[in-house]
Amino acid sequence: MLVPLSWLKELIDIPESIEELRDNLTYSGLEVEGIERHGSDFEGLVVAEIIAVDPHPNADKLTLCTVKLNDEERMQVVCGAPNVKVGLKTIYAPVGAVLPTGLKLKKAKIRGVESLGMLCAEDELGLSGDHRGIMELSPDLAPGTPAVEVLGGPEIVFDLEVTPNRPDCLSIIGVARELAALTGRSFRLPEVRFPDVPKNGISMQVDIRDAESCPRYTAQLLEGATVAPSPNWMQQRLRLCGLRPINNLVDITNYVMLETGQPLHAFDRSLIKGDCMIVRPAEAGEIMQTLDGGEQKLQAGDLVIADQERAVALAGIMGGANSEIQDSSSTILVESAAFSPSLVRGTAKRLNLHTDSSYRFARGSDMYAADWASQRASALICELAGAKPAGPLQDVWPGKTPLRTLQCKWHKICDLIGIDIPVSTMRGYFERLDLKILEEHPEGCTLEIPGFRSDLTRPVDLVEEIARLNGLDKIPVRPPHARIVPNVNDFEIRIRIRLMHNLASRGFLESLNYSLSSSEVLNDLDESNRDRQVILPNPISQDQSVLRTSLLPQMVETLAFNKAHQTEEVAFFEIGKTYLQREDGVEEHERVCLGTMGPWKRPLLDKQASVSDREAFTDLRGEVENVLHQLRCTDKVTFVANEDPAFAPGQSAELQCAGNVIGRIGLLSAKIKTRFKLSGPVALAEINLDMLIPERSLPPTMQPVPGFPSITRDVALILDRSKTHQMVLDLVNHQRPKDLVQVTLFDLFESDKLGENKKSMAYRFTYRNPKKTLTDKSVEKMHLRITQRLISELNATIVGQD
Amino acid sequence: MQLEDLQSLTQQALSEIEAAPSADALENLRVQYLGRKGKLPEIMASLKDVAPEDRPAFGQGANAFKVQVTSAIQSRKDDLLSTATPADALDVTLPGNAGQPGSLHPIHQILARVINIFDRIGFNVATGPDVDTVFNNFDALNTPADHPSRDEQDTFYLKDGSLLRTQTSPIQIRHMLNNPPPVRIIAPGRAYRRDTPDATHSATFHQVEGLYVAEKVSMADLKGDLTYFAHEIVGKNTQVRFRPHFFPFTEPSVEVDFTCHVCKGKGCRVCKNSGWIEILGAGMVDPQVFENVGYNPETTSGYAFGMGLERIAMIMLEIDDIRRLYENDARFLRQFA
Repeated sequence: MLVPLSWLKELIDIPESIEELRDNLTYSGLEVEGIERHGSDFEGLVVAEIIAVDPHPNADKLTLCTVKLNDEERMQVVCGAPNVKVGLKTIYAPVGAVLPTGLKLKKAKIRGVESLGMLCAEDELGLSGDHRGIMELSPDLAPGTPAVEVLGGPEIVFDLEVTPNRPDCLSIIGVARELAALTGRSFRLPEVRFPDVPKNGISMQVDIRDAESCPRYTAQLLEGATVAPSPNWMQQRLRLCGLRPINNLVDITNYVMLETGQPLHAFDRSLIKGDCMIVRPAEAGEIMQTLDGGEQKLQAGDLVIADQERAVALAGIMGGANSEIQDSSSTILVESAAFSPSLVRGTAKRLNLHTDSSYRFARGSDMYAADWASQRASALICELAGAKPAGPLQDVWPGKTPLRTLQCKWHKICDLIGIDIPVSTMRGYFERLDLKILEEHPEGCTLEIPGFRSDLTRPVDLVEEIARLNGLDKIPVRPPHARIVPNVNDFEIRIRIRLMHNLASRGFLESLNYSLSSSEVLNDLDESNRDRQVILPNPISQDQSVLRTSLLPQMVETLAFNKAHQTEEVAFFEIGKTYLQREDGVEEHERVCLGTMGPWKRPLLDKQASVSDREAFTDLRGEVENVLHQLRCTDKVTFVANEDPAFAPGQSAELQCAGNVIGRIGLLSAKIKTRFKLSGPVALAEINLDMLIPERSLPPTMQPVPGFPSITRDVALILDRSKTHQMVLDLVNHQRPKDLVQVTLFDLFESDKLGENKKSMAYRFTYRNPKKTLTDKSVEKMHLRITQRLISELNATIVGQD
Repeated sequence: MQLEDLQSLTQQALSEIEAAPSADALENLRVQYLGRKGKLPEIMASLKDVAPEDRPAFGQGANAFKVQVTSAIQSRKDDLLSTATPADALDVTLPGNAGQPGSLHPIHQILARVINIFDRIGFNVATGPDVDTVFNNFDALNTPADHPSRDEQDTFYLKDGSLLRTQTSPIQIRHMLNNPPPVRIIAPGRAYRRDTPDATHSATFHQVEGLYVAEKVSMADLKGDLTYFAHEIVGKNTQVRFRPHFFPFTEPSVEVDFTCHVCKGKGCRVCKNSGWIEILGAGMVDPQVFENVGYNPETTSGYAFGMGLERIAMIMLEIDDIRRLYENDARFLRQFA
C-alpha cells in the first residue's frame, strides 16, 4: 500500500520526522517496507502549449513542435512522442534545465534540426515509469505556469506492508485512523459537500438475488457530467499511488477507493438497458467482456451485475466493456457495494484477474461505510465534472447485521501480555480505537466493534490491540527459566547430530540436497526402489518432480559438480530423509550417505599414485565401519557381495542386519561415471539409519582386562583369488577354539608369481586364556587344527610349509 | 701399579671419554677401562702389590676411578644423544598430515547451535514427517479454508491428498495431539513450497520452531526466552524488538527483529540502515489451535516461534544466494569448516 505523505497529512497532523513516522507505523503493525522520494521542484520547467506540429525533414517518427511558453516566447523542439497535437498542454524543459532523472539538457541538433529543449514524458520527470508519450495536462493551464505548481513539489511516499487481517488499512483514511489511535491524536475525514437532491428525482432500482454474496448494493445516479482529464492534484496522487490517470470520472472512483478503501465503479447510464441493476449469479458458460478487453468465461459460482439483458460488470472485480465510461458519457451510475470476500477471491483467482478492487474485496470491505464512500465520490463528481444528483441514493442492504460485540476480561489481557496495565489505560486505548464500551463491570466490559475492524472477532483479538497501543517495547523481558518436561524422548535426533560431528571430524564435508529429484537420476542409481517413487502431481520442474528414494543419486551429482569445478579429491556425507510410496502412504526413512573420490585419505606426500579400486573401497568401508561403531552396531551388520546396477560388477556389497538389507556400498559403475564425467574410483555407501538404530547394542559394561600373556602365530595362506576374507573367517569361526581371541589380516598380496589367479593373505592368530599362561605346546595343537582345515577346505597352501 | 699411576690413568681415561667422538668410540673406551679384560680388573689385581700402608689410599683411588669413569661415560653418552647429526635433522616446516578438515553444512551448524541453546532451558527436540495431512498442516493451525497458501500453486499435494508440509508447525500439532501440557519443544525440519528457485527462494527449505505451553505463559516469557536466544546466538547486548504482525495460528502475532549483528544497531548496508534485522515470526498460540488439539484454552496458554534456517545462515554467514546452500561446492563448504 503506497501512502503519499502529503495526502496523509491532510487527514492527520504529523509533527514527527520521517524516521519517527516510519517507526510509529512499523510499531503499530504497518511495517514500512520502503520510503520513496518522488519528483523535485522542477526548476526551470514550465507548462507549454503546442501551437504547431510540422514533420521533421529527415525522420518519419520525429516531429517539429512549436511551443508557446508565454505571450512572447516560442520555441522549436524536436519531439518523438506519438501523442503530439496542436493545443496540447504539456511540460517543457528548457536548455540548461536538469531533469529529476539527472539528465542535463543541452542545445542539440537532432537529425540535422536544432531542438531547443524538450517536451517531457512522465518517466523523464521521475513521476512514473510511463514513457508512452509526453504528458497531457489539463487544457485550463496557462502556458508559463511553473511545473512545480502542476506536478507538485517533491513527494515522500511510504510503502506499507498491510497484513491480510487489516483490509481497513488499504486506504489513506485507514492509515490515518490507525496513526490517530496509536498516537492519541485526532484525525479528520474529508468533507463531503453533497448537493441537494431534487424532489421527485429518479434513481436506479437495485435487485439483489443473492444476499449472501452481496449483502449491500448502493447505486447513485448523477447527470450532466462532462468527461475531461481530472485536476492535476488528483492525477498526481493517483500516480504516486501507482495508478494511471484516465479521465475525471474513472479517476474519482479510483481516488475515493484509495482514500476510503471502498472499491467503486462508474457506469455510463445510457449503456445500461432498463432501470434496474441486478446482482445475480453468473450462468454457467456466460461470457462477458471486461473493460481491459479480456473475454471472461464465467461459472455458476461467479457473481455479476447485470441489466435487464446482460452482465455489465463482474462483481467486485472489473466493469464490463459494454457499459464503461465514454468521452461522451454524461449520466453516470456510481456503484458502491459489499461482496463476499471468498467469492471475489475465488473468481479473481480462477480468471487470473487481480485488480485493486478485487484485492480489497477479497480481504473484506467495510459494508457499513459503502454509502459514505458513494457520497464522497458523487460529491467529487459533482464538484469536478459538473454533474448533479439525479435522485437519492438507492441503498439495498439485505445483509445488514448489527455491529459485532465482544466481551473483554481485563485480567486475561494482562495475563497474556505479561504486564499489568491499569483498567483506565486500557479503556482509553479502546476509545482511541473507536471500540465503544457498551457496558462495564469490574472484571471487564462489552465492546461494540466498528465495521472497519473485520479482524476483531474474538476476545483474544483484543489482546493485540492493547499490547500494541501500550507498546510492544513495554513488554518486560522476563528472564528465562529452565523447565524440564519429562518423558520426551529425543535421543534419535541427538544421535544424528553426534554422527554429523563425528563424520565432519573425520574429514567429510556435509552436503545438503533438495528432497526433490528427478525420476531419471533415481531410476539409474536406485533401481530397486523404482516402483516406489513418490511422484508429485504438480511439480515446479522435471528435475524436482519426485521425492528422493535414496541419497546416493544426489551424492553422485554432488561429486560430479565438484569434479567439474576442479575439486579432485573430496569426501562428502549427507544425512537426510528418503521417501518410499507404500500402499497406505509415504514411508520416510532417514539415511546417511557417504561419497568419496580421489586420494582424500592419503598422507599429504603420498597423493601422486593413482587410487586403486581396492584402496577406494576399503577406505570407504573403513568409514562405514566407523559409522557402525558410532551407532554400536558393528557386530550386527554383515557385508554381502551383491549386484547393483549403480555399481561396477563385483565391486559392491549390501549391508545386512537382522535379516534386512539396511545399506549398500560400492564403486560407481563405469557407465554412470562416463555419464557424469567422473573418473577414477568413486566410492559410495548408504545406510538406513531408521532401520539400524533400533538394533543398537546396549552401552558397554566392563570386561576383565587380560591377566595373562597371549601367544601369536602368523600364517601366510596362498589362495585362489575367488576365496574371500569372509570365507577364511567363517572357517576359523566354525569350531573356533575358546582361547583364540583374535584373528587379524595383516598382509594381502596378489600376483601371478604365486600361481595363476592366486593371492597371499597373511593372518595373525592371537591365543590367550583368561585363567592361565598358555604353553607353546597347547597353542600349537589348537593352531595346527585350524591351519589344517584352512588347507583342506579352502584349498590353501601355507607359505613356508609343504 | 702405584697410586700416581692410578691417578694419571684416571685423568687419561676422563679426557679420552670427554673427547670420544661417537657412541661406538665411547663403547670401546668403556670396554677398555671398565670391561672384564680392561683397566679396572687390572687395578684391582694390582692392589695386592701395593704396600700395606698405601693400600687404603690406593683402594680409595681405585673406587674413585670406577665411579668417575662410569659417570663420565654416562654423561658423555647423554651429550652424544642430545647432539643432532645432520642426518637426524627434520624439516619442521613441512605441513602436517591431518588432511583437509571436514565440516557440518552451514544450515546444520546453525541448527545445532539453536538446539543447544534451547536445550539448556529445557526444550526437547521433536520431529515429524515431511509428508503430512491437510489437517496438521493447515486446518489445525487455523488457516482459513480459502487461504491462498493452500492453493496448488503454493503447496505440493500428493495424489492421495496428503501434502509436503509447508512449514514445520504440523510438528507442534502432532506433539500436542500426543502429549498433554506442559509442552516445551524445539521442532526442526524441512518444509516445502512451490516457489520457483531464485536468490532468496528454494522449494525445499529448513525451519526450526519452538513451542512452550503451560499455565500463564505470556508475551513477557516469549520476549525473555527470545532475548536469551539472541544473546546466545548473536552476542551479548543484542536487543530484541517485537513488531505486530499477523499469522493465523498465533494471536497476538509479532515479527521479531534483532539488532543488526554487523553494525550493532547503528545502521549499515546489511540491515538497510534500520539497525534491525528480521529474524523470527512468533506469537501467543491462538485459542482455536488449542481447541483443535484438545487443549483447554481457558487454562493453558503458550507461545510459539519459528525461523528459517537458510535465512539465518545467510544473514550470519553473509551468504549472497540461497542456492549456494544446495550446490554443495566443496570450495564453499570448506569455508565454514
